[in-house]
Amino acid sequence: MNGTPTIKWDPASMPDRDEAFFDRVSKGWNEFWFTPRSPKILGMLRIPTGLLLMMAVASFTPELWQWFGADGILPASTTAKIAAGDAGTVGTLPSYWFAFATPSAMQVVHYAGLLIVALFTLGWRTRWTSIGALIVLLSYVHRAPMITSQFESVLTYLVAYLCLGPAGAYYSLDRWLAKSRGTEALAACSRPTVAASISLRLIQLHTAALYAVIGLTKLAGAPWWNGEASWWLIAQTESRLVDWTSLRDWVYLVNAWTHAWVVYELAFPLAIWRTPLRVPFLGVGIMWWLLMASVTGLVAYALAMIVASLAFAPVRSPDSGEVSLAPIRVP
Amino acid sequence: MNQVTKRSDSPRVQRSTTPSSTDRPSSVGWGRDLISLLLFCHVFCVVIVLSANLTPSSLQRRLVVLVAPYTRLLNFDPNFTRFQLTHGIEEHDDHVLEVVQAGQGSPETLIARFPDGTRHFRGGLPFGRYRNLADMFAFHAYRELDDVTAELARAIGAHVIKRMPEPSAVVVRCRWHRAQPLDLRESGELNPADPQAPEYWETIYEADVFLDDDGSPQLVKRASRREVAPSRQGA
Repeated sequence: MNGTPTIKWDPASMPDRDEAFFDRVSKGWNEFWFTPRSPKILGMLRIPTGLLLMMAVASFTPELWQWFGADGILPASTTAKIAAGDAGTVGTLPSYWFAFATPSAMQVVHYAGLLIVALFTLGWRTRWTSIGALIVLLSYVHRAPMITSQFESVLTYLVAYLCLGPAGAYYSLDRWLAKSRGTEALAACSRPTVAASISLRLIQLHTAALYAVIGLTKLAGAPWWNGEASWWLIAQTESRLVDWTSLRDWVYLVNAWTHAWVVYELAFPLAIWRTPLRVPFLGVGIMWWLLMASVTGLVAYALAMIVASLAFAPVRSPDSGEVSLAPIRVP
Repeated sequence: MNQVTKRSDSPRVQRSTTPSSTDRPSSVGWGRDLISLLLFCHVFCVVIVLSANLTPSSLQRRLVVLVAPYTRLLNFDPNFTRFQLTHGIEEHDDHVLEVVQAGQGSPETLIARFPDGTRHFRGGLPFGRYRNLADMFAFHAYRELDDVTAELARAIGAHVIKRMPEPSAVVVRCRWHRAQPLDLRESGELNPADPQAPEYWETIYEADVFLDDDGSPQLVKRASRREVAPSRQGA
């Protein structure tokens, strides 16, 4: 026995260990959310997000009355009846579109919304225009939820989270105006903040969770296991952009494509937090989403996912001389 | 006592007595705690609605309803959005809505088609909206949820009728375009090589829509599918 280390259960040491664990969790949580970060990447995300939102809103312009008009495809009464019948929902959700019924009023409101979104994209008074842009987006979504898709789901959380941080601190009219006011205003604009950290972390976390959901829900269907899912998408002649049916003779390639698709989406939420894997994963992701768009025709969704993934891009902040995305430790 | 000494000397304890953590203003501490609580609640809500997107359990369904006022308001709830793209079932194939003029004894005239690849760029959002509408219509048609399909068919029919030079009754139908199998000899039978062959098209819902004397749209259903589509899992 002498010289042999023995392990004794010491009840007194248990609270200490628990305390250490909770300390670590608490420290990890605080580091993850509350370490001030450069808002540069939020500025980089704001522009493509704003452009996607502009595209979404502007695409309604020629068909506004056709969709939302009193004798349109989806008059307000139709939306209300369908929403009321949708079990487990909260009924019709607020949208300013329910308040305007004449073509001229709808046009004015539509262009006003477009202007707000344009100002958000340019980064003018971004704190306010970002909230305005979110209201504009949600109004379209709530007015006709039955014609929304994956794209709107991704776009909404991007805009919502950009509202929380200083998304106009970089690449914006706000910054240009701050520069004209002097170096002090510019420095204040560029300062790493907790709000930037929270905004960025929410985008990252939501994106990683979404990837996990995309991958896992695929696994609930047999074609993603037997390797035929890619073919079932290729074979949709009404919606595909590029005809890939020549792959019929390359069954193994179709199978490999399907499996790689699932592997990438399941690996993303785990690997993307590791700094060395980020660039390769983002690079593959861009190609992957564009390929997906060519098969399914879901171009806007693919672009939104690329933008959301860019929240993980390692960006160097010239002002602070730091890497704005420090190696991430998940609590 | 020895243990107490060790604990007091540990770096962890030293860290906890540094001015940055203990001497910070209480308002900052409270603010951070409050934000942490809000973040936790938000992340919890997001995880609930995302995880319940495909086949929610009873508990998930209950929780989704509970957090709906928040998640639906901000559109965080994907609400069965098809992120998986396809599971190889009929519902996940392409569907189109057609509005035709049914002449007495004369051939039908196609008046409108949603989505229409000749009118819109297939990768564009306008095309996507009509596509979503057709998919949503098909989703309800497969489940025989006539309240929704009738409401939509009435609105679509009325919309088209009011734009006709000579308004008359129309037929609104939802057609399923069956995807061509990878192996054309699927299930022992030879499928046509042309993916647009009539064998690949099937009407899953059909209804007559007309305006009554008051100008209100009325609907008489003709046909719909009786059962939910089987999976192609064995394909």
